[in-house]
Formats: sequence, C-alpha cells, structure tokens
Amino acid sequence: MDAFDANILNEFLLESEDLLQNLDEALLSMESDGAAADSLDVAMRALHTIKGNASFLGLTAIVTLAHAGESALEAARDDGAGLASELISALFQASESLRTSLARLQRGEELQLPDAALLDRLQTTIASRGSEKACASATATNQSIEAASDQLPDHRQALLAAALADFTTSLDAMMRALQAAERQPALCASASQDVVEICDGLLRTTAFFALPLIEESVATLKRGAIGLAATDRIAEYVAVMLPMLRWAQGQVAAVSANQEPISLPQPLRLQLDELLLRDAAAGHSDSGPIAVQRDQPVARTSPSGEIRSVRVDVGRLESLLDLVGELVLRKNSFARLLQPTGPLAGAPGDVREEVIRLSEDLDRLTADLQHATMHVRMQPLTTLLNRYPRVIRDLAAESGKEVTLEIDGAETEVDRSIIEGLGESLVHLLRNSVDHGVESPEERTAAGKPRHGLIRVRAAQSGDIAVIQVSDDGRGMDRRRLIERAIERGILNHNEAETLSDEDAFLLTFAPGFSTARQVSNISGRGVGMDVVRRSVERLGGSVQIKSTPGRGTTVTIRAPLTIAILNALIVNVGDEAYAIPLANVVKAGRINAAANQSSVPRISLAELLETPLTADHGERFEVIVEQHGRRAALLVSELAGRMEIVTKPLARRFMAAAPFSVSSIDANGDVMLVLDVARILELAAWPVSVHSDGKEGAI
Amino acid sequence: MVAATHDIHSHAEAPAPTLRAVLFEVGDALCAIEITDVLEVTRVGKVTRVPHAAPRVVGATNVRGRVIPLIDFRELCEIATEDRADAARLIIVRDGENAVGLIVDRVLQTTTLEPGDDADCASHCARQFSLMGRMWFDERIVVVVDTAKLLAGAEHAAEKES
Repeated sequence: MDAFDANILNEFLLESEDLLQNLDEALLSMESDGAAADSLDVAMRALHTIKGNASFLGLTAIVTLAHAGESALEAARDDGAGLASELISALFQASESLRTSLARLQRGEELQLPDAALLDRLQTTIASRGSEKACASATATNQSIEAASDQLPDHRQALLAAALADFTTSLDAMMRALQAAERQPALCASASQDVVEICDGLLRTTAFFALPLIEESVATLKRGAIGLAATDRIAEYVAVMLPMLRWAQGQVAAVSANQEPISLPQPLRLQLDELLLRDAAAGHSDSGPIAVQRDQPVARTSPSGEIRSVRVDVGRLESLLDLVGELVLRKNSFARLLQPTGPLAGAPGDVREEVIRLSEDLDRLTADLQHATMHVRMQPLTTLLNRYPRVIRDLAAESGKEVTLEIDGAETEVDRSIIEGLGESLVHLLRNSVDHGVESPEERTAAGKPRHGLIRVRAAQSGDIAVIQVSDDGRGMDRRRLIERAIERGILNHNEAETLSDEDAFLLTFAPGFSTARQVSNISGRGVGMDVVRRSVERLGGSVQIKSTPGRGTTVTIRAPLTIAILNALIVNVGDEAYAIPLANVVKAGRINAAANQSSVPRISLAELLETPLTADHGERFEVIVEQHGRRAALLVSELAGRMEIVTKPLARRFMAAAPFSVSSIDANGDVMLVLDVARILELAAWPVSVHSDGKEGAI
Repeated sequence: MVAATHDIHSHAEAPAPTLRAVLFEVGDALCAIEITDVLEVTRVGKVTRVPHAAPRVVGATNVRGRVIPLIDFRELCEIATEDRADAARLIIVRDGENAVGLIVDRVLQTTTLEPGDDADCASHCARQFSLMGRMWFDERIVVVVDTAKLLAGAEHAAEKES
C-alpha cells in the first residue's frame, strides 16, 4: 500500500501545482479584467479538484481551505457582481497557503490547519454578499439540506434514499468479492463477473438519478473488473479498486447527506488505466478493446490545441538517462575488442571489418539516443516565468510601488534541473528590483520618469548557454555607497577601493553578508542575499554579472548551461585517482613552471586537500589554473589526462555534504569519477577573505 | 556466532510476528534487513573513494548507471577491514528516492524470520545502530537492522564531520 500511496501523493502534488498555477492566472486576469465567467470557472474548478483529491487523501487542512475558497467564488459567481479586490487578495493568500501545504507534504511534514484569519476573510466576503446559497454552503449543513431537498420532488427523493441504501449494500458486496479474489486467485474470474454485474445495475441507477460523477466512478470500477478477469496481477488491481470502492461509498454518503459528490481522483483512475494498458500490451486482456482514458495529467493539449505533450515522472527520465549512459559504456568496450591488446586483435580481415562497421553504427545510434534523451529533460522556462506576474504583483502591493513586468523569451528550453535550481534566485532578483531598484511613484515622477517602474525578464539561448536577464529602470547602484559598505565590513581596504572598477564594485554585493539596504525590509530582508544567488547559479555551472547605471537602473545577467547532464571537463590524475574539473573553471593547464613561481596565483595541492597519497611516479608535475568568480588558484596535479565530455550523475548529498564535489560521472571503465567543485575548493583552501555576516540583512 | 557479552536493552518496538528479510553476515554477526527496504543485491564493483564524505561512507560505486554511496558494514561494526572476500556483496537499500549500498561479507538468503525473545543477545555490531528487534533463524540470533535509523546515523556522523 505504501508505494501505492506515494504514487498517488506524487500525482496529487503535481496536479495541484498545475491547478494552483491555473488559479493564480485566473485570479490575475479577474483582477485586471473583472470577473470574466471563464476565469471564474477556471478558478472554481481548480479549487474544486484540489478539494476532491485532498479529501480522498484525508488532507483535511487542504480540503478546508479549498472549500472556503470555492464557496467564496461560488457566492461571487451567483451574485454576478464580480470579485471584490479584498476577495481576490484573500484568494491569492489562500493559493499561497495551499502551496505551502503542498511543499510541506512533499517534505513529508505535518500539515498545519489553515489560518483562521484567512478562512474568516474568505467567509466574510460571502456573508457580506448575503447570497442565500453561499450562506448555506458556508455555514450550517441543515440549511443546505433544506435547500437541496427543494430540488427533488418528494417521491423521487424517497426513491433516491432507497437507491442509496441499495448502493451501499452493492458496494459492500463488491468489496467482499474483491477481497476474496485477492485471497484466492481461483475465485478471481467469478469475482470479476460479480463485480461487473453489480456495476451494470448501479450504472442504471446512477443514470436514472442523474449522478454523473458517481456513474463515472462505477464505470471505472467496471473496467477494472473486466481487466481483473484476465490478469495475473490480481493484488495490484485490488489495491487500486478497493480505494475506488471506498471513494464511491464516500460519495454515496455525501449524496445521502445532500452534498455534492466530487469526481473520482485522477491518480486512482490513471493507476487503473496503467494496469489495463500493461495487461493489454502483454496480451493478458480480453480481445475486446479497453477504452482507456488518458486525459489531463498524463497527456495534454495546449489551449491552442497544437502541442501535445506527455507528463513523465522525473525518476523515470533519470533512469532512462542512466541506461543510455550504460549503453554508451558497453559501446566503448565493444570498440576496444579490436585494439591491439583486445580479444579480436588477431581476427581475420572480414571479421574485423564487420565489427568496425557495427561498432560505427552503434556509435552513431548511441550518440543520437543520448542526445535525444537529454532533450526530453528540457522544458521551456515558461513553467518558471509564469509565476512571476503574481510575485511582482504581491511585491509591488507590499511596497506601495507601481511596477510593470515584461517577460520575453519564456519559450527558451533548458534542463529541468536548471529550472529548479534557478527558481529561488530569480525570485530574489525580482525582489531586489522591486524593493531596492524601482523608486516610489513620487520619486520617479520627480526624476522625470514614468510612475510605473518597468522590470524586464529576458531569456534567450546562446550556443549551449541559457542567458537570463533581470533588469529594472530604477535608481541603479551607488558605487560610492557599495565601497563604503565594503570597507566598513572589512571586505575591502582603502587602497583596493581606489582602483576598483565599476564592475568589481557591483560584484561586492555577492560577498556573503553584504548589504546596503538602510533598513531590513519585509520584502528583501529574508536572509537570502546576492551571495546565495551567486552560489546557486554557480552550483549549476553558471555565472552572474551585474551592470548598473545610477539613476538608470540595474541589469543582472545569469548565464547557465542549457543542461547539466553533460559537462565539458578536464580530467586530471592526482596520485592514481582521476578527477574531473569543469572546463568552464579552467583558465589554463600545463607543466608546473618553476620560473612563474613568483606569480600571485596561490597554489593548492589537490593531493593534500583530498588526502591522496602521491607515489614516486605520480608526483605533482602539472598545474591547472582555475578561476571562479574572479578568484584564481593553481591546482597541483600529477597528470593531465585530457578533455572529455562527461555525463553527470547526482551525488548523494545526504552523505557527502562536506565533500568538495559538485557532481559525479562514470568513466569509460564504468567507474565513478568525481567532479571538483572549484568554488568549494577555493573556500576549503582557506581563502584570505574576511567575511562578516550579521545574518540580518541579506539584500543589496 | 554472535558473541554474547554486552547487555543491550533495545528500545525498538516489539517486532512484527514474522518478517521477510534478506539475511547476511558481517564478521560473526548474522544480520537481516527487511526485504521491502532492499532494492537489489549485487557484487561489489570498483569503489571510488570520496574524500571528505561522511566517515561511515567508504566511497561511491556505479550500479547500472547510478552513482551510489557505500557504507561498509565492517566499519560500522568496527571489525578490522581486511581484503574483501569474493563472497562480499552489496545490498542496495532504499533511501527515500535515492539508494545506498551496504557492503556485507556474505548474503545468505531471503527468509521469513520468527520472532525472537528478549534474551540477552548483544553483539558488538548491535550497539552500532538501532535495532528493529532480534529474531531467530536456524537457532541463531539475527540482528534485524533498521535501515532508516542506520542511514540517519550515517548522516549525523556527516553533520559532525562538517
């Protein structure tokens, strides 16, 4: 059951995130264009579905909040007067709170009950409208029973009560049949037949009473029962069908209590479909075609109906990539068969030719396959950038500024790990822009600028690099203030300050704990500073650059690789161990030059740092000059083994938090090779930069 | 056999009536891991040392394209590490979404364990990680390892290190 639950939870999280995104977009559009009916529907549907799925998973906190939001929207819809701005902002807050709950779920933490003040705000908006129906749904249940009872003529009402009782009995019977089948596989065929028959009866009832949602659940159960007759995975079917039955029971109970039923949770149906599909593929199932619904979360069509896409679990993608990597390794060993020391070295000419031909084919195919697999992981930045109108709206409202956001190039595709890694940083940059960049409307008018500040997010692809720029037309950075602050903090001395270029002055904001904000604001002072932005971008193998003109604005440019799945690296040997250094960090490499000893670049012995024994034939004879964010050092190594494109593999951070490696890879022999985290190595080598952090302020 | 010298009072909950588990040996100790925690058992491939990893992590290895951290049971049990015998195996266990490899001396079989009594059956090994309980197999006492606690222990060691 556990693995099953984890799958469902995962589906729930994915689906809910999408739905919240829909909700936000709908709210934004209602805020600007008033309550367009379709936006309102989208918002209600999103909350309704979340509520349904959450109630199935027993997530009361989420159900309560989603329900309150839905009721508020419902009241507004029935009222027809549009959404008051206080309701919209309460709903935004609800959406945020639901997101927090999802994040907690993902981390396996306990859910907290929704904020009572927020629930109040949602309900007040209903009450103040005085809509009868809204009052009923939001307050006493008996009222809602009266309201609903009015809708059915009396005799039908009595019939329904009887039918619902009968329904419950039928569901119990199905449950017993399924449990029997699980215990005794021999009973499976008859159980399947029983369930199908019961379902047929129920389908007639549901059609008669017009209960489409329950009808749908029963139809799904029936498909499961048909599949059950011809499978050898009885337990798996039962594991999906039992929760469906329980679900149906719950819905019947809801109808009995005059509540609206909700549709069967998507994940359950998908799991059943998957089982049916698998059996159909394996030829287990009946010859009759099984109507498999593959809708929403799995396959989807864009609003314009052009792009069709399939949602795949990241884990499966990762394992696909791993397998391709393994295939590449096997291919390499295949090529080695013909080497002078290989087993086919003495083979006759025609054999050799055939092997060479096959090996070349294999080469090309695996390269294509690898490339194609990498691409599957790519996603447009839209998923990330779409959140920002919302973020900017909140930030501007909070700080009393007027800001317009322009997004450009959201279609740029990058690896999903890059998207994940950039999210936080971009939000932080936007915060900085709103909080410290853009001036207040009055200040702007006085400076002869338009009242509305403009923040631009631009993304583009440049070769195998994604370039993302966040720029504002605000007050820009003050070089003098930055330098004063740096001296105050002991980051810089007076002599250095005089010769500092503008660019370097802006880079000072990247020093840990550096901040010139006069006061800690609600917006930016959250303890994440520009140093965090820099570090997370660098962890992805990227870089950050700042340009700023006083009075004109600031532009922060992030460059990140399109994919971190492939890395250009210099392979070095230290003693008899091999390590990879990202080529992006390498300035030059060569024999240790005794004459250049006086050079200002400090030397770091990798053997010492990594506690690797050196042997007589593996002394430190070469050096690799590396650079990270303007700092340079010479890493001493035994050998330079060449440049290589490596496929990166994540390291188990849980056990390797202190290790100076960013990722790992697998070499031609199938052994693990570690990739040096140059930033970390520079830190470990006790870089002589004094860092004072007051931990309070964290922004520019 | 398990050296019965120390007095151990396990605070683990009462063991389930029976337990499907993978049985393995480390030094003299007979241990078991619940079968649902085990992803697979493989030979020990080439181990790459990971400098500055948690002290209990001996390195990383490639298991079909995944890089997996390795914990050596011998080190956990403070048994002098000698050259690994041919019988040595890697038990790959689940660690949330990830996997961790445990190097053991020998994997015996998967079996169903009978409940143990609370007999004093301390082994040196047993003190090194939290037990789920003790059970019997073939008249030998089996130390049932709680994988989650074992891994949490290795992680805490990592925190101390850093």
